[in-house]
Amino acid sequence: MQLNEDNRQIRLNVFIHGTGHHEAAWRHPDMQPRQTLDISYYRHLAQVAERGLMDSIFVSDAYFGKINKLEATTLLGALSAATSHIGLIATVGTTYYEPYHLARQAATLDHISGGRAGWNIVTGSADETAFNFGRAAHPEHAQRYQLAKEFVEVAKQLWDSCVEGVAVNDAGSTNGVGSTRHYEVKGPLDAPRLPQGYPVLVQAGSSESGKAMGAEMADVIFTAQQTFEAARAFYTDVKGRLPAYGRKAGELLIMPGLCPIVADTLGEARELEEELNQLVHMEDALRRLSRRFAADLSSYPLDGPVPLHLAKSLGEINSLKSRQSLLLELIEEEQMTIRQFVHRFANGRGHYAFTGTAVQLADEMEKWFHSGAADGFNVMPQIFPSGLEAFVEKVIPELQNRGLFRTAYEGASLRERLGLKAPAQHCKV
Amino acid sequence: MMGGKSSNRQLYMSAAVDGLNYQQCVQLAEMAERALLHALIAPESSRLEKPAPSSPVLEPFTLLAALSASTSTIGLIAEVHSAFYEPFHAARKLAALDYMSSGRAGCLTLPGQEAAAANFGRVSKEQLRPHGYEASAAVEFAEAMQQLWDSWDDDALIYDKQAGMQFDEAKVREVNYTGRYYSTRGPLNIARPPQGHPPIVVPIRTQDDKLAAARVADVMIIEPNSLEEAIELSLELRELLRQQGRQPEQGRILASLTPIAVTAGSISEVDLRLGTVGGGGKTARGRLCCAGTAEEIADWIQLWHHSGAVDGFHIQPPLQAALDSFGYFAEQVIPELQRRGMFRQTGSSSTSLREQLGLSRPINQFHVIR
Repeated sequence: MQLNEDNRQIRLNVFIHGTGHHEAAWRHPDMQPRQTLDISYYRHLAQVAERGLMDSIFVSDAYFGKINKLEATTLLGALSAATSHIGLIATVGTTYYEPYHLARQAATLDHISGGRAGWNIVTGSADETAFNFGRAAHPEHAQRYQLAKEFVEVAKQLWDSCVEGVAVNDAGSTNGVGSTRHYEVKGPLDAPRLPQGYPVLVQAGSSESGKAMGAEMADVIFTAQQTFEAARAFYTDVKGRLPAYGRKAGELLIMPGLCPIVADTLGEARELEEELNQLVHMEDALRRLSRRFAADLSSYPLDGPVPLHLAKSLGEINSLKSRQSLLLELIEEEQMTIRQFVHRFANGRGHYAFTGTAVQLADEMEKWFHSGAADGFNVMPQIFPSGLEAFVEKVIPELQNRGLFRTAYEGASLRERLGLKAPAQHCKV
Repeated sequence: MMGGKSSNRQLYMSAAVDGLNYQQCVQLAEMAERALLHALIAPESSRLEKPAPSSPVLEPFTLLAALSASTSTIGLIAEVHSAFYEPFHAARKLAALDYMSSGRAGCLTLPGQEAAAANFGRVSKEQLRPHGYEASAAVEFAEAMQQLWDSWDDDALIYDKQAGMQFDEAKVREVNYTGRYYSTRGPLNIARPPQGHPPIVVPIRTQDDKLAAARVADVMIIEPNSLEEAIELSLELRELLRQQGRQPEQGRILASLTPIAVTAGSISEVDLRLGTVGGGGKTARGRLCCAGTAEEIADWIQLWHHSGAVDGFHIQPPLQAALDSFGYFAEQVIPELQRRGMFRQTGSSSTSLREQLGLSRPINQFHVIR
């Protein structure tokens, strides 16, 4: 597969997530976990990423659980004022949201940031989310994806109801009537047309329904892939689906997650990794991972094999389906012990983890990029801010030296910078 | 006497940040903060069902989040129309805003208008929620948010690195709120906000709004036709507060006001048409206007404030020239009020909106005193 056009460059997003993507990051002696409620912590991370000329910042979100997290769009709204180039991708779940609110929110973020907004479309991964919204049950997987597809359709129609420069007046257009099987939204949206037309649409589920939706409507796909081979298979699969929707390969960027632990020598990087792995709370980790098995993993020897025969089947879980299969494959392939499994999952929850020097990592990234496995990476530092600083200071210059990454921001909007087409306005005036 | 010794009473001021593009919003916010106003209120689109020709309405939470970065002391109040919103979403956005702004978030709740429902339609019947457009639905919405904020004790986050415990399990709880319109289980997925509960603001338009406000409002915005009406209304509101077992000063009363600057010899046609020069009165659009020179507007504010009818004003600049008009108010009228000793001359030492409004921090309703 020859994808190496001359000017094609690696896209880099940073996934900002609590104290870092290693589950024990918060326990590191340098870390002050209370900072995760403090805007100055995020401002610093955003500014480091912008200094590194990264394409975008991404924050995840969820509507349940005993966790402590700033709501995504509000956080990025604040960061838009503290940055001037970097893209701002907020996760908003469709299952318990209104298309009209989402459309206004994304329009506002796009306006105040001057065309830097992105929306990561998720359907929600936990059954208990329903109870926070007075619903009896979380819709099952396929139903959620159907709703999500329609939700995006309605949101696009609302964005199309905006007229360049000014808000639509009521005497004017009949745009913005968003009607699908499940939604009926009159519109129009009370906003001038978004600088980007639509925010950059991101899809992050890698199940069958997720891939289908991504191929049909996403601009960017974030995906968890454990190996180069798996990433290449995923890339080939999804890009292969594009022609069916009348889309070209360059219209959808695939960015696998990458959890880097980078230092000047391999030894130092391994030490950092080991330091964090030692901080993993084994009981908690086993309890969490046991949910994927029909057994309590803590009753098995830590240095014995993972009881793969007791793993739950895909039919028994209603969320993160794609993650389950890739984990099981990896355990089998690497003959992992329970302890190895815990450590592997601790850094990035099943995303691709790499420990080594900047040169080694750049080699690996280049290989993925040039061999049809990735258009870019969703960078998930194991610990903030040091993991991000190391990536920006060591890895990015190495990529720049190889001509694989920009040396200055170009393009006026996130969409433009990612080389994505501006959506044509389907005007019905 | 209604409001105690008038000379000692604080005068509270908020301003609407409405119908402006983002850059203008930033300018207005900075002017308001320099003038030491207490809060900004970002309206939900009142034109939700019928967009205005040229004034975009930025989504309040996202706008205020951005403004939290360009301001440092002024309160940031987001309007929410409860019929189309979920308490869980609003509570977490407000909590996030409260953390990011060091305690400056607030929420103006309105039930919303049925006409806007067309933007929130669902085809399948089982997806429809039993929404209401009456004030009691907005009360429930506020109560549900308050319970969600209380789902974490103030000291629930412990971050015990040694023990590997981020929070104390015993201090985080499901709230299982079940009302007529809303139910939510909780807990919220963010710790209790710095203010405990970001203040709830309720505009008073109907009899039901008064009852609603008496239960949940920290701030009430009234739209009286005259001073007499304002006096009567606040007596009634304060009595309703008492009936709910609350102290009258736990509910600040602001009158919504559109000041119109008239500099000597420049009385505009608009002002003449409004017939409000040198005094106050309601315009055809239902807004209480006061037109005059800075001195005259200050006189008028002084009269109202000294009557004890109101604790302050919510300034709604005319949409056509919001920035200029607000600029006049902030740069001419406020200094005049300060010269008269009626308005604060230095900012508060606290950034908490509650504290700036003289409101106490609510204790956690689930906190059992042992």
